[in-house]
Amino acid sequence: MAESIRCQVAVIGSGPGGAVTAMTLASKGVDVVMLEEGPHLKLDSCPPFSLEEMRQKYRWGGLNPALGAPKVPFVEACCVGGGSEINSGLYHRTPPEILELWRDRFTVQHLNEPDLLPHFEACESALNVQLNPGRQPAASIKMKMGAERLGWKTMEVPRWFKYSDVLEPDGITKGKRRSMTETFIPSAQAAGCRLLPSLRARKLKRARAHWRVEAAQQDTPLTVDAEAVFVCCGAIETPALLRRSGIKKNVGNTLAFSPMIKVTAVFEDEVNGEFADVPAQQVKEFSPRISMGCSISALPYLALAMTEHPDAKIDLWRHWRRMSIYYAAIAGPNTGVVRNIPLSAAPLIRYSLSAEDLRDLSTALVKLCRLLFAAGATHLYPSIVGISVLRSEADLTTIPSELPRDRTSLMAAHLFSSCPMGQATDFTAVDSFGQVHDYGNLFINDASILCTAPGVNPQGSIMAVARRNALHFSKGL
Amino acid sequence: MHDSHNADGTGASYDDVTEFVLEQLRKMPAFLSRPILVATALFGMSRLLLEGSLFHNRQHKQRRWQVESWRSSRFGLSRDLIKFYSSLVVLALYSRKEIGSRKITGDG
Repeated sequence: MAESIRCQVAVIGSGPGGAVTAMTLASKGVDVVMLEEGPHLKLDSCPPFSLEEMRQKYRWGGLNPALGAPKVPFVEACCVGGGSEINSGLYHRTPPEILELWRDRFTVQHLNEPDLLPHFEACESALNVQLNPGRQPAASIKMKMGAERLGWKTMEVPRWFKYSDVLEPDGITKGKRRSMTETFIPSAQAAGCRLLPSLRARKLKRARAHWRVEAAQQDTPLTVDAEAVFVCCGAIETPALLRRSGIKKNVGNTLAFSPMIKVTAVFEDEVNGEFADVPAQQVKEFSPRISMGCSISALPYLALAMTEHPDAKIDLWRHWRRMSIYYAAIAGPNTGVVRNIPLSAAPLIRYSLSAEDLRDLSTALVKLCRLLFAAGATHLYPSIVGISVLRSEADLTTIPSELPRDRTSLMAAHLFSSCPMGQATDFTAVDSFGQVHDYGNLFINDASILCTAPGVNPQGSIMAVARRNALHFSKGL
Repeated sequence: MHDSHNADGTGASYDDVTEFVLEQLRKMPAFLSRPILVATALFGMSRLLLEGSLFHNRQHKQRRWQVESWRSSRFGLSRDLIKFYSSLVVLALYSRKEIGSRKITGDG
């Protein structure tokens, strides 16, 4: 017989959505149990963006791409704290035009800027969201320089990072990255929330006045009986769990990505180094449809990017400090589908890009290359198999006006919208405050409910909406 | 596919790289890893009838030629297989000398 736990609210998932939900409810005196499939590891249990991090914290080893043409690889975390443990903590509030779109098209109620403001402010305070007070990384400075020379709007993006007050002699400011395991999760536990790591929720069942979460720790079954359940497993696992539980209306049919194409740039001077900080500069001239920024540029990632260009024969050991990777992304369409497969714990993800999307990605790539040449790049290597090195703006005409499906390597860092919120019940999965349509006391409170790609790093939106929804729920208790 | 003692003719050991690739194969969803393993077996045996040897028994130069021919194949599945393995190998190989305390970069 399975061990059983009772509580007022079960929160499934401990990423930005789940952690904020659990902390908000626990601090209101609600008896909360938080389940997390992955292990409970410290933020600094491994170096960021390392092979060891892939081993410890990535779901499926980081190898479950969205199938389609082209395929889109993406990464999800599977550990306490979720995606906040493996990303750079770049932070944006939801752009006003995106909120307007969600209100107009999806009829989301009470989602104006003033409605969200206190939630943004609370999350920003808890996470120490701030700009880097020291010298910017060289890769950022290049991006800023290129944008300014072209007259394009650019900004340094704040991060959740606790910077030291001490400025090092070289102008670098050190500090400590923040994440859910450093902030909301310990606060939730201090307020009485019980955290159950390494526990996979298999299915949800409604049993009269409560919900039963059927879970397992390895092969040991455990059930959690709760008056209400918040599903916060992310844009893939949330619809997968709901569909396994027979809840399928508008669930897992509208997954959105921000597909990005990368370019490796070579400069005459150094832009990279062993202790380079996160380059947080982004270009917003063409947002929300197109965004550009700096990408992971550690030596292994440079080597990986250059596998698309075997003829380049660059001596990476010699030149990697003069190289950096940049990306151009579009706010992708809601064409992704999440489906469970019999006998497989991993869901199948399909995603399709239209010809228009591939043209927009090409436009975004050309703009990024122009910016990098303006910043002084001497050689550019876009992640398209078979395309020659670009040495000047004149070479940009070799970039196809529509990126080729079979030769373009895309990737995605953020996923959302698989269970969109809104009052339009014919195409949304949950109401304006996250309750699943027709299922009382069952909520979704993560990236799944964002109606579309927000066009910016989404964690700020996820946390603010999660806090708003959790507080709305607690008022009804 | 892997000859741990002489994979590149230099006698260098790549056991750590092989271990990483196999570990990732074990972690990825079965509905993806099984077709990859089948394709890998086909790759390993693809020259057996013509030349009488499996991939891992061939000379380094011949292996390289076979990898390059699959990398530039007109069949997407052949290209994908090589891309899959080369990505993991490159990541593992270049992580060997990565400086562990590096605090860098990211999209997230």
